[in-house]
Amino acid sequence: MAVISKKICMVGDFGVGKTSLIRRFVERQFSDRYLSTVGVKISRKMLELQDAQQQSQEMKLMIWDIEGQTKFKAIAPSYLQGANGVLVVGDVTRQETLEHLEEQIHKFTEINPQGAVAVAFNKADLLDSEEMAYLQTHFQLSHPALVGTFSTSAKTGKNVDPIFEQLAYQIWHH
Amino acid sequence: MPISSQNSVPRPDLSQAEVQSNPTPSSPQGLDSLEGLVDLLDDLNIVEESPPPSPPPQENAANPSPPRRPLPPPPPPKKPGQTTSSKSSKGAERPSKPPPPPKTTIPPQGSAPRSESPETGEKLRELLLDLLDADATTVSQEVADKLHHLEAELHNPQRLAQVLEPMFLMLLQHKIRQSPQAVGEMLGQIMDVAIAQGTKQDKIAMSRALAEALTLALSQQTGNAPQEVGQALGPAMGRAISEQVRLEKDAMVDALYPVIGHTISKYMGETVTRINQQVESAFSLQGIYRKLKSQWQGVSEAELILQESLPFTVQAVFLIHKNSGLVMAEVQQSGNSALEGDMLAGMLTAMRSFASECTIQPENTSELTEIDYENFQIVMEVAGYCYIAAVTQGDPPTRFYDQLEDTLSAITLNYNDDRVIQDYQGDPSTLPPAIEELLRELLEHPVTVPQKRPHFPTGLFVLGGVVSLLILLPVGMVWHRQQVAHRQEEEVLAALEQTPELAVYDFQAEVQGGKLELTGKVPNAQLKEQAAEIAQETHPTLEFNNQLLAVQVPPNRGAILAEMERLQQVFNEMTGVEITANYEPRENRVIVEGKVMAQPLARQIAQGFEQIPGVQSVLFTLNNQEFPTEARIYFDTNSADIAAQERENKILPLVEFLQENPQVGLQVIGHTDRSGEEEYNENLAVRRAQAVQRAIEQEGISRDRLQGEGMTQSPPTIPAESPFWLSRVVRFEVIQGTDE
Repeated sequence: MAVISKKICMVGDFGVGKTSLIRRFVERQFSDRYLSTVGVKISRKMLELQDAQQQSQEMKLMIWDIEGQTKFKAIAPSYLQGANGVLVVGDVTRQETLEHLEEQIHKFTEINPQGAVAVAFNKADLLDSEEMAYLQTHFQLSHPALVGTFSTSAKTGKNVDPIFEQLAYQIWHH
Repeated sequence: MPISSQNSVPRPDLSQAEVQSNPTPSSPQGLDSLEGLVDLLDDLNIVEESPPPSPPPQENAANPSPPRRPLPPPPPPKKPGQTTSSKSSKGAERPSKPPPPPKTTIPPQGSAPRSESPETGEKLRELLLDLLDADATTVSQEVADKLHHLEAELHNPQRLAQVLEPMFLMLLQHKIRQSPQAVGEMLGQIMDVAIAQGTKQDKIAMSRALAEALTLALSQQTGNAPQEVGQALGPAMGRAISEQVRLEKDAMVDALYPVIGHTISKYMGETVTRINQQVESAFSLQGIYRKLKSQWQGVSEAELILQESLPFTVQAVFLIHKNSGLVMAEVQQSGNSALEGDMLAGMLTAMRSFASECTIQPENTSELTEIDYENFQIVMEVAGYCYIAAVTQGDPPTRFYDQLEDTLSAITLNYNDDRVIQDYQGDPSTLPPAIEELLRELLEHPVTVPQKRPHFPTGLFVLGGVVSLLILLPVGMVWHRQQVAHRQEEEVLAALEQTPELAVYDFQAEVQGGKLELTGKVPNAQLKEQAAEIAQETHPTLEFNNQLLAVQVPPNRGAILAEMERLQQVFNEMTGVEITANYEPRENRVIVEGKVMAQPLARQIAQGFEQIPGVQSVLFTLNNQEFPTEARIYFDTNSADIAAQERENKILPLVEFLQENPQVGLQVIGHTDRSGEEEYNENLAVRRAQAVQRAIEQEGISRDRLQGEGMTQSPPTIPAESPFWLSRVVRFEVIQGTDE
């Protein structure tokens, strides 16, 4: 079966760790150094998906790492066009970034009504499990396109592969 | 104590060998006891077996033979004899201990005799005890000394070195010969240390020692494992080159010149060939177009040529989904390292989005169509849901854009069934394969600047045509003018030639710019004027420039005579002329004799001869009386009657002349003298003329040839004071040209 290509976007405020998540997922690396993404950086990752019926599918994920949003700079809608899924990322140590998640999901589904959405509560390694649990309940998100909410850590690699794979699977079986 | 300790050492070393071997051969005890022993041995029939005890020590000693050989000399055989009894007290302690070793060795030997005879055995034991006792006592002291000496030597490295030195080399050589492998292994263990140490101690010496081998080793290894050498040297190469460049740039330049020069020349050669082709086409339409283009664009022609020389090629073509930036189809040139289509497509799409986000006003949509890099460009053609991106090298010709547009139109119009393009979901199998074919067409057959190989230089021809027209038109006009001028010149010269007086001279006529210039030489101003008049009359429209020279030609008798002859001939052909001309060189005078029918003719003749260069004057001695036309019919006073003798002598010859020269007409002019009335005289003159007319007519001459006229004056040649009768006359003037 032919490889299918899909575009997914990383959306979130600046500095929440979008680039780090991609770096962990694609290059298996992590760095503390903060480098601000300008415009868009595109990465590619091949995935081998398998469903319950043992059907497999190779998927080429084109991951658009879109520069972080600030209150002065909203996300450019044209970057989101044609995306099959989005990974909305918040920083658990900065509550305001989590507050923006809903709006960012909305913005994405407005442009791509069929798109799948996954939410990453990133930098989970910096909080203990209790605090994490509190945050997850406090920022309960509900959206028909939502695949799931994951507490992730690019530093430890926690939930990084699962969140991308879940999103990819959802896109495949959409 | 050292003795016992040494004895207990299981491996026999040098000192032990010395200890054991020396006493045995030299055993200096009493000869009696030895003989007794031999006898005993004979009796025991163990003579054959007896040698074994002595060989073993020899064999033992043979193994460490090299060190042993030099040692025997120090204890010469005489020593035992000297000190036999001196050490008996010390030797007394030993008998108890030494026996066991002999005992242990003896049993196998003694076992046989013991079984044969216990007496003999007993004897033998005693004898041996004797022997050993004596041996011990005599040798022990010497041995102790010797050992002491040896120990001292062993602990003195200088002495030891001295002792070992001569052997060491030999030993090593021997060992190397025997088993080089083992020596190699042994030395190999410390070789690195040795080299390191050597280097540490004297780096320069070590370098010198290794230098020669190093280059050879390197070349050997380069042959054996070029890959490894390459890997080893590679990283340092760049730095080495930089360092060398820093140290001695010129040497580096010289060294690399042949390589780089060749490479560059190869590349440039190809480029120059292409440039040459462009230059060759300089006069083709394309070349002219390029010249014009360089003028319009303000770009140098060389740059345009270079642009055209770097051939246009398409490296890859991608069909990209406009929204998602996913590659829908791609084709790439084989042989090139493949471009990362996905990444390129994504980035292009992002750039397009970025550009449209940042720079484009919402009301006017605009598309990014080209990205230019130094040596390649990405050309894009955008449709509604997808766009083509072509990675190209060289300057894309304008027609390539059209081709892109056509291809994209073909794709969107023909292959967007069920909105497969619009709703592309990243699965290339949903797209018809024909799309890739279309893209491949772009890749493999991009329109290029049409390169007709044998350039037909159309432009050259057109340009040449224009140029030749520009040249030929004025040339033609000039030529035409020259032709006209030439014709006019010919006409002028012909006219001059037809004039007898001038025919003899050389004239050059030149017509230029509406001006006629006449050059040449004539002997006098009169001829100059005459020639000018004739020339002007021939072409009155031309401005005339008379450049004739009137020169006084020195008389040339031959020429004068020839010309005179010629003129004479010319004049004699005229009606009524019969002359002979003679030249009188003394006075440069021509004397003309003969008959000339009419006076004007005579004047003409005179002028003709006068114009001969060198002729000063012309003298006429004409006998015109003989000419009937010169005759004059005289009349009486108031009479118009022709006397009979006048008719007979004058009119009849005249009629005869007229009959001979039918072309000649006559003016019959009647004259009167000055006496009488004017009116009467007029009438009389006419009547006289008519009378002569009638007389001629009566002789058969047509009246048409005669014109009558009356004049009251005297004839022109008759002066006023002349007698009257000379004026009562009728005379004739020849009218030429009435011959038709």
